[in-house]
Amino acid sequence: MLHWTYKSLLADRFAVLGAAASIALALLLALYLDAVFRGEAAQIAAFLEHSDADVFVLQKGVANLHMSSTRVTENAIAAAGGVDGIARMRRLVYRPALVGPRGGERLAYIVGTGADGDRAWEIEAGAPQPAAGEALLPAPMARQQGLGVGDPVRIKEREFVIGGLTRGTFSMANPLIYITEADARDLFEEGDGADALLVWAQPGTGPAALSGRINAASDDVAALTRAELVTSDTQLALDMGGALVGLMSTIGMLVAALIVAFASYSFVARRMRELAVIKALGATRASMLASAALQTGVIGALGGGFAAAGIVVLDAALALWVPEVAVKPALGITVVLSGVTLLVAELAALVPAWQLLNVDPAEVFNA
Amino acid sequence: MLLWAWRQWRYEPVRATLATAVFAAALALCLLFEGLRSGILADLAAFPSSLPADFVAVERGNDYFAIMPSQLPQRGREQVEAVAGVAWAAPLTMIPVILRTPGLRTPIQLQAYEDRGGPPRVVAGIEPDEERTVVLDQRLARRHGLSIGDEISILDYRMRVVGLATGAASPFTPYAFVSYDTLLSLLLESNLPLGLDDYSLLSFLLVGAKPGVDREALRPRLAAALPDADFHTPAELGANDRAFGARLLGPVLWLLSAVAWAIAGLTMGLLRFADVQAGLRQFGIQKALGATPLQLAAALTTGSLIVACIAIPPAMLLARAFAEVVARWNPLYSALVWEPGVLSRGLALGLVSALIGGLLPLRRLVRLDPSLVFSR
Repeated sequence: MLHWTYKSLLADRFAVLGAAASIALALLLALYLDAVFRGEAAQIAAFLEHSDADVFVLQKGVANLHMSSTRVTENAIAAAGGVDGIARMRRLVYRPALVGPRGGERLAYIVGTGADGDRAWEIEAGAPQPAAGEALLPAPMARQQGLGVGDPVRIKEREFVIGGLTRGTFSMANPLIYITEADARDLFEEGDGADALLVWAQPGTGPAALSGRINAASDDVAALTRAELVTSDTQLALDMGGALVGLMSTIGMLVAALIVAFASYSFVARRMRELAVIKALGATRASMLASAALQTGVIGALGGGFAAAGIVVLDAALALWVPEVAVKPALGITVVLSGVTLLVAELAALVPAWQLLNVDPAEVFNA
Repeated sequence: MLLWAWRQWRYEPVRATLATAVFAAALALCLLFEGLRSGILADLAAFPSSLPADFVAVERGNDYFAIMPSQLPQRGREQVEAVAGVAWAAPLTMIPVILRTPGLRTPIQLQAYEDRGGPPRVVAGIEPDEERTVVLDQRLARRHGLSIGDEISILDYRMRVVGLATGAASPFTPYAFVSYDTLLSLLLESNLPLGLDDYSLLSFLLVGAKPGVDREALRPRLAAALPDADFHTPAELGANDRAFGARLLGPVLWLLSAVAWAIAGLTMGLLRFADVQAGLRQFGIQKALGATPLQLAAALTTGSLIVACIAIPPAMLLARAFAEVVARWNPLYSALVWEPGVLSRGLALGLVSALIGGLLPLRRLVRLDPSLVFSR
């Protein structure tokens, strides 16, 4: 029986491959959405992950640097600065702004960099630090707008010159542009205020202990360790997309199940006479059920495998042709979805299994 | 071919039903992604387009409403009200904040308003006229499981939900509305540096013209009176926000649609391949009678069209069901699957995919040996 199943699958290899490819595409929808949200979530925390500050001090009640506004008052800055265990503290200017020609702008986060040179980016071309009037742009963003080092770029209402191109600083919703702190203060008319404080701990002081002390010293701030803020910003992005990814996975599964059911049904329907012969020769119900399970299992497994390979290919193709979409495929979700697809395929096998078990051996005499 | 399709329904109802269901599901996927794209962009435009004003003053150089924070000079209202032809000017303040409830956070726009520019339609409860009260967009409230009477905390400031509104949702910028009393109380409790030059409380100004005043003549006068602002009509702002969303999300959404169309094409290829396999003898007869590859291709595409056309009504219903599930799963995403533009575009592209997919088994037919008709 198994040998017959194997031979039949080989004879029908184009239909099997077609069904597997359709399933793979249905899964790919969910995997791609998941990879996009993961890619964005990872990039949303890019500034934080590149920074070596131990603690970030934000406005009271704020727990995200992304998609929220924060302002730290002078009183709060004074209170935080008086805490034991601080090696260094810097006022951060970090604001969203429109970048590019009018009518074709992109949203970007502008970071004012300190004179003490705390670099939080890798340079692809040009100067490693922005000079006055210069901006360091993410390389994909510059390419998108047809710009290079030395070209002018509009940030808010002011024109800057591109001093360098950076790597690891780009995503659709959160590209990071670095300018000098003085330029940033001027651009946002921020005086000497601070959107947030970057705090470095003295040797021997842990980030958690330091953030606890700052929170105890002032009621007007929310001090978070870098790890806490990374988690918070990443979770925000995943919360926005998580439900949609789950939904698309379910719909993808439904479509995949229908495709498997149809492919298996057609497969069995075409071989009714052969199956009747096999049944007449005494094949057991168990072996016939195993045959149905194997057929659908092969289609489902192939579909899962194609989807896993497809997401890798898609990742490479997007990096090459659509670099503005940051994708981060996750092996875990690929394995889980492929596994669930296999399960769904086996459930879909109930349709042909029912057919198999009800084959009338007299069918063999039908012309 | 029609007769053949009818026979298939009559003699192989399970197979025909399954085939229709499979292609309907694939078509419904196409409609769902087209609808999602359309819904996201429509939601981005909806609230700014609905602002009750002739013009909206926005920070100079910023042509958008919800995309980018705007800051106008604190005394901008007086300057605008002094312009000849202006009947009224109403302030709006918008702050991006995160709404957090256990296990879920959503970035929202907290909007303070005086008497205009509040929730477009309050469908339950009342407007937020008392301190520490807030009106949430209904879809945002549903997403967080909130209802009237519940308390929320924004920037550690507790407020009671007193109303639910429609027309102010989107996946990325759903709105919550408060009075200026509430906003001031919130900001004072946060000890923010109010009154400093670099912290204006004025984000936008809604401007109404006196009856009979030429709007286009008024615009340059407004721009001259408040040079730190640009003046847009609500419709322009809505269109700009929509265009920005299309630019930002375009590549992702187009790729999703493209994958859905590829699924439709491949699925149709699979269905037609199964039909060809099942009807090899009939095709063999046609070939023996001298059918050319072009005629075989016509037979295949006619079959594809029949399956696709039969699948359209269930596909529309299934797409509507998918959209309903999307709305229940995450109410901030709406899929406008029955919008005429979405239907025509989605179905047209789905049918093109079906036609292309339907030709996939053509090679098998062209290479078919007519003597097959005598086998068995």
